[in-house]
Amino acid sequence: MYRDMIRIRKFEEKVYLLFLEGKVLGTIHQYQGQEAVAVGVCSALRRNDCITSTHRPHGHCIAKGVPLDSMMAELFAKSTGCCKAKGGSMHMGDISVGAVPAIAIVAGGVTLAAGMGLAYKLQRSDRVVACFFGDGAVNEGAFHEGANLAAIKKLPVVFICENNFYAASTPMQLTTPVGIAERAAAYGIPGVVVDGNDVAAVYQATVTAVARARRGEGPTLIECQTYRTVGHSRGDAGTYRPKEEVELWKQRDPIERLRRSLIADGAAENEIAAIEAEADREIETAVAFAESSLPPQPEDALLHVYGEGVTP
Amino acid sequence: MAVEVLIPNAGQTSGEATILRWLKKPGDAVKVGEALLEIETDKAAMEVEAAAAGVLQSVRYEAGAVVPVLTTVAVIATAGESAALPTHVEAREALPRSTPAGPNGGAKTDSRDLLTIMRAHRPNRTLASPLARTLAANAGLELAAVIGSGPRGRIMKRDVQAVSMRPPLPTAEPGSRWSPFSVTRRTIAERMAASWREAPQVTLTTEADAEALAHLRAQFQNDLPDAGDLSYTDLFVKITAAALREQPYLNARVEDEGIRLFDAIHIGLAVDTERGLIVPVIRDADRKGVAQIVRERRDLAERARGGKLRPDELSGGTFTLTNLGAFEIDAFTPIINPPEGAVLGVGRVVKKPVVRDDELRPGMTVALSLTFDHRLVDGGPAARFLQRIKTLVEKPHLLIA
Amino acid sequence: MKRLSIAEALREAMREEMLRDERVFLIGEDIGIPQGFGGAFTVTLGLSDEFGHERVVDTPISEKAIVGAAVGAAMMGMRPIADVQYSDFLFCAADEIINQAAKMTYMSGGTVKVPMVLRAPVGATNRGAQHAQSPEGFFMHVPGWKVAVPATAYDAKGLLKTAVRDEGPVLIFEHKRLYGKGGRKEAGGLDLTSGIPDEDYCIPFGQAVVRREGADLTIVATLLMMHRSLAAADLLAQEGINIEVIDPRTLVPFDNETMLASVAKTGKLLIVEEDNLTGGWGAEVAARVADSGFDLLDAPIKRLASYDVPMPFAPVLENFVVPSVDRIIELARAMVKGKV
Repeated sequence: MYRDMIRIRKFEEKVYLLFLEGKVLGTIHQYQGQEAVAVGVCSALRRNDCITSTHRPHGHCIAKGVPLDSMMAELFAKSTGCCKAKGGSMHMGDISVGAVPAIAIVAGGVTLAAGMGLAYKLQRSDRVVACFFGDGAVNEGAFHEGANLAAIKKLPVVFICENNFYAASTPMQLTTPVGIAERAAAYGIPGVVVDGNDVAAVYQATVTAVARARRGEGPTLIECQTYRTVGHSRGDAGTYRPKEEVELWKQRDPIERLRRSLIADGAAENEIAAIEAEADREIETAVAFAESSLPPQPEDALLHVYGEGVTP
Repeated sequence: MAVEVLIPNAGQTSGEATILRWLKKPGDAVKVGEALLEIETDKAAMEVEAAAAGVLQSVRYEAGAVVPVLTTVAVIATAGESAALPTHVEAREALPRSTPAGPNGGAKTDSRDLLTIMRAHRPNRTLASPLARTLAANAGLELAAVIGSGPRGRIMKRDVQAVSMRPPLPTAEPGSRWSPFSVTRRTIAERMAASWREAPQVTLTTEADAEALAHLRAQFQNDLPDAGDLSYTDLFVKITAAALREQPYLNARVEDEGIRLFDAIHIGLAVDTERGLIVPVIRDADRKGVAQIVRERRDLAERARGGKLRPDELSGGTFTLTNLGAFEIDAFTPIINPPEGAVLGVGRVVKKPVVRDDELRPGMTVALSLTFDHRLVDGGPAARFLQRIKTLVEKPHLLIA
Repeated sequence: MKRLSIAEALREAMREEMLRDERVFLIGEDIGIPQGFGGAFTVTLGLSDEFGHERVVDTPISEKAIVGAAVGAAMMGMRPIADVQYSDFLFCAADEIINQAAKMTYMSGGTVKVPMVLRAPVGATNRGAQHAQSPEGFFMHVPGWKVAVPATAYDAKGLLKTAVRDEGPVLIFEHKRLYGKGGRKEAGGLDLTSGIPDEDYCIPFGQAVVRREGADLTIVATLLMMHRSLAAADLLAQEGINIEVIDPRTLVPFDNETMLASVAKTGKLLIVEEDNLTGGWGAEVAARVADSGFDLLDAPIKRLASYDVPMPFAPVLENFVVPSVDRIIELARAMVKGKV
């Protein structure tokens, strides 16, 4: 799990630099500080379980196993990207590893996740879907409808709320009268709060929820309290958050915590350094791959609009 | 594959042709070389043949339309294309099939097929933009008088404006009837006016003893197979070509501050047809025997009257011969066929009293009239040339000297 | 061969597809409740008895969840047929329809498919503005959705089957006044049943039908307006005016060829639609003909549509707003006589 968290952190840091250089276009919503949530959750999933993601998908995708080079190529707008340069940062995903291309509409993935769970139930499979969303999403109608449907139909969904306390610049106290996990009661499903910067805690909570879902007992809402140590998107200086608060959460950096804990359990420094070096290499390779890939043909814009063909 | 049927560029001076009639209709199968339609240019009426085998489609212009050269007037659909558009009342398909729209959701219809359908139901419709129609109506113009330069021959504002800037049609005058020039008539008018304007023309006449010529004609008619209709014109082609070979300065024309002399001798024969004057050309007339000249003349004249000449048969002449003897004309003043340098007019071979050896007796004569471009040669050389013609007429045995 | 109404034909199509393909399921409100309605217009009646409540999924009143779940299930390989009870409610799920279903295949570079069907009843029925819209134009505009508008039982069955088998999302707009067996005054007293063959058949998208041939004017119309146009055409025939009535059957893909061939014949096009004039589907079709059919036109393209007002309740007001047979006759006659 350390490896995946480091990969996410370094990927995001590299992407940030590339963005400043103008090699990554558009905008990016970065995940630094929240790595424990993605990694903790995805570590509890099988490869053929699926996740739905949000406009801040890089961490989820890496944790689920989307290859870094196809992600980098997508950010570089190359045809070798995971979405063939048609999606971009906010729609990252690779269905072959169970990462549904992200939905950038806040809470948009919640009803989709319910539907995916419905499909698994009808197919009599024991797959589950983990649905990521943020604190802002719980106030969207789609959250309510999706959670409600999943609850009443006992669908195999695990709802993961990444509560980083801010919806863009708006702090929770201005928007959310009732705690997020408490809302689970409205649907008659379990709601738990976990320290989102403690990867082991996230992992444990997810394991429990996944098992419940696989047993056909229905969804769980897990609120992971965490913090993004960068702005909402690039170009956001985060001036709406008090400096002390940011500093406080930086002390609780999930990667640092796991590193200390691993060392305390006997891991060698050079093992950790090796993991980090390998992550660096993987990212450099991804960048090289992205740079040497070709952009799409302009006419590719006309492809993939309609479902093509009919299966009798 | 669709092969376009074009109005050919046949060297017309006017850049237009009139469609006389269609010989095939849309949907007909056509073979390579088959005649599709008859057109009239300023030179002649001629046929346009199919360049490919297939099905004729999308006929865009009706008989009577005047179109610019190289206009596409129809299309031949070659194998693999289907011309028919389906009209079904209750469609049933056995296989499920979904046909997603192209991203632009736009029509893939071939616009030429649509025009075919339109013409089947509304044959008299002219393609014209609404603006053009309004402008034409305001100007009192018939759309039929306008040639469209837009896509598929559509009449646009600029086309109406071009016509309305032409001088107005003459008003009606009681006791008279006005009709516009046909393409041929207009071309002849323009060419004759140009010839008259540019070349200072002088006509010399003489009278030749035609007894030997008449005798020669009878002999040929008798002794050459299939020469029963051998005419004086055929003999004059041979005589003129021989004279030109000896005195080539009249096988020439004035061109750009100079004189261009031609190596080959191609004699144009003025033929009178219903449409007007047409001049098919016998090429290398000095190298052909009388028998061959007869055959060619006969074929060209017939096809000229039937409007079936090819463009290359109507161009390239270096000297023209015109014979009005059939109309009992003697001497006359032919106009040079521009851009040539001279023209020989032949009158009737007629019985007349002649003076021979100081005695008055019945004989046969023929009047010869040579009009020449005085920029090209002076009277003396021209007269010498005419004299030589006279000599060859009176002593045709010199032709094989 | 039997005669079925549109509701019955849709039901039969669903039933046959569910038997043929276990991935097909239904999701919506009130569609499977025992002793219930079978959906707002009886279309799903009896299906839950045959297929059980697992495959006929009743939901809370949650249009976002209905459509969103259909998208998610389709992404995972199922073939859901979702429905909303009135097309007006599609807007409750506008995000799911426009931002998720329509865009997922594209954004994923073609790797994720969304083979779902979404059915919605349209048309004014004296229920007031929020239960009366014909919003086909909104959805024709969205790249990614195919849109079908079946006006007969034969077409309803064949188009629904094609929709189910299609690899992408398909919207089917049905008209509330056309579900039943007919004889109702609002639909012109027409027999709304069709002969339905016994063997399986699908109708491909993008194939219009010429319901009536004529050379004086082309009318392109959908759903109830198509039936009213036929009624108008019958009456005008008595005056010697012969109208060609074309039923596009699908708005996306649209059968431009059949329409243009008809306009080539008649030179005049009248589009009759129940949605309101501005930005309706007729505006798009008119623009296409003005472009591709410029040289064919003898008269301006006319659209007869509902006035640009929310649909009023009172019958006298609703009948004023929605094109009637009389209005169709009047405009068609004026066009044929060259008065417009």
